[in-house]
Amino acid sequence: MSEAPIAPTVPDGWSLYGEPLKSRLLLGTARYPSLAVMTEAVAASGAEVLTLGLRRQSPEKLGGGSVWDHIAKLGCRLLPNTAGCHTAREAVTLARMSREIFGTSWIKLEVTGDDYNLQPDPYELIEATRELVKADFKVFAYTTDDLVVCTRLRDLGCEVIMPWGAPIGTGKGVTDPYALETLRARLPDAVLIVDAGLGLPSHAARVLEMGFDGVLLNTAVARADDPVRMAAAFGKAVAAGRLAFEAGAMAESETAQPSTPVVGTPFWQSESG
Amino acid sequence: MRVEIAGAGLMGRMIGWRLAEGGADVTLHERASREAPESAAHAAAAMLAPVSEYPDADPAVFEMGKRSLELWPPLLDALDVPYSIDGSLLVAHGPDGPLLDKFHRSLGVEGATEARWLDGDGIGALEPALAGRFQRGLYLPNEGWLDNRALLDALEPRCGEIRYRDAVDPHGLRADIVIDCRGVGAGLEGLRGVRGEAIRVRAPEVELARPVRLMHPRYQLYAAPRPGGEVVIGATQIESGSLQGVTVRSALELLSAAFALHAGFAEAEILELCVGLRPAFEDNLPRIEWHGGVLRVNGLYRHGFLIAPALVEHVVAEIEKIWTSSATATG
Repeated sequence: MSEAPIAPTVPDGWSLYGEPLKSRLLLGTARYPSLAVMTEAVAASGAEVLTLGLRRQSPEKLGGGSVWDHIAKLGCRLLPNTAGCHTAREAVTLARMSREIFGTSWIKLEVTGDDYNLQPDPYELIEATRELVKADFKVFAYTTDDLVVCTRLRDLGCEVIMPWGAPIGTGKGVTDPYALETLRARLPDAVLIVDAGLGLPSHAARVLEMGFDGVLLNTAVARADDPVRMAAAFGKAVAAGRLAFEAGAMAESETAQPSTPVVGTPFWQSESG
Repeated sequence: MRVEIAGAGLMGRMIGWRLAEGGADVTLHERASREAPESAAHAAAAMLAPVSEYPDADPAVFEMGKRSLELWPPLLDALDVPYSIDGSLLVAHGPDGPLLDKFHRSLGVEGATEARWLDGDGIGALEPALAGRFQRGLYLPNEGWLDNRALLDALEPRCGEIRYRDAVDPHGLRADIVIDCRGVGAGLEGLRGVRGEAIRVRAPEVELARPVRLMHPRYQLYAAPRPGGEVVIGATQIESGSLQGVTVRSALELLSAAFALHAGFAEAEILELCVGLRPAFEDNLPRIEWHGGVLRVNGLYRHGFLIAPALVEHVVAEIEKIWTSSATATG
């Protein structure tokens, strides 16, 4: 029996701030058992965009130089982040420093409001976004799933908005699907990437099925028993989720609906089936 | 046999000691001064914890760690260096409990035989200071600690002549055997520094018999006992080659985690804030390799004290190969 042609795993291209990409998975570079494992995991995931934090590495003295060089050599686009910043001022300073160091105006803007949850501070985030957009940065704003905050970010010129699925590092998956569905429905033209809180490939697939443009992960891969396999699993799940979204799901129903008519089916057939 | 060693950190001294005992004439060249050591070994907590490191380390490190646990006691006894191999303890606060399960799962079949679950009473029985503070923990019986600075001091008069403030290029040294043990200072291709910060305190209210690790989603905290009521609280792990002083954030993290482990740390006296750079290759594994007539020993990462004696065995075997063959050729 000949098999039906298999649909490409990467059904379509997309872009971030005009940069064409294939994979819809963005990967973080922290907390792997070693740089070697991270390197393999990146390759297995198919990710083309990598985030990296420099807050604690004494960037003004180029303290993280050797690890930055290593990450830069992986051939992916770099998305420096401002993890560890608590105010707009700190985040803006770090963003400027990372633009100098990495020669990119892409910045994943993170401003922490609560240290236990690492919950973003919406007030400082908006302030920092305003300033960075003015200074020609391409802002990727990490935020909660609050519709009003996301709308403001969009109005300020932030093209890529990254709501959380759950607090960072929890691995819980999407804790408030209603809020995310609302965001997708109300901001149909914004690029929305779910960042943080996902633990399993099925979580990522679900987010893509909901119509989100992409997923950003770190802990779920880095802290898996085998980060390389988990990276591959997420890569496939993200592609599957996107494919499903484009395919359009069937309508859900409250009652069972056989795909062949039951009228006239002899009772013995229905019992054995 | 004349031996020149660049770098008088843990490896330089251990190798020097071993070779000097065998009758070699050993000179060590150390960039830092005696008063202000820069070696990672000086800042380290020096835990002998192969099982604790198992989930994140290569199996080779586990094997070398286990071998070193056999080798250390006679060496440390001979040098009169304080140490203890009486197990270590892993604990977590309620919400972080899944990290203990995850750790246990990561041990696999091999490592799991080395771990025992404890309830609150069991923890209190082992470490009375922690009684009533934790409901669950893991006891790893084959782990311990040694007094890193006492060891470095004990090795000093035994490892050959150490020349301080003497930065050298090992390729410019002339001897029968030249060894490069400079750690991050060697500046080798692919070698990077991983910054670690630790705090040494004297904590009369917190009597710990063994190292205790507090599992936390973001911080890796451990408290390793030292003689005289001292405790080393460590350690941050930052991908940075900067040796600047301990940051306020790191100090806050380490101290608040210590306080969460035991409120008695609040009254401890802070003795020192320590910074070290762990030399690491991409795979976090150590390397012993000849390069232009120089034997390079580097990349011990966070596992220096854990694997040092086993690594010295490999180094000595490597030197004997060369020395025996050249002695045969000339003799």
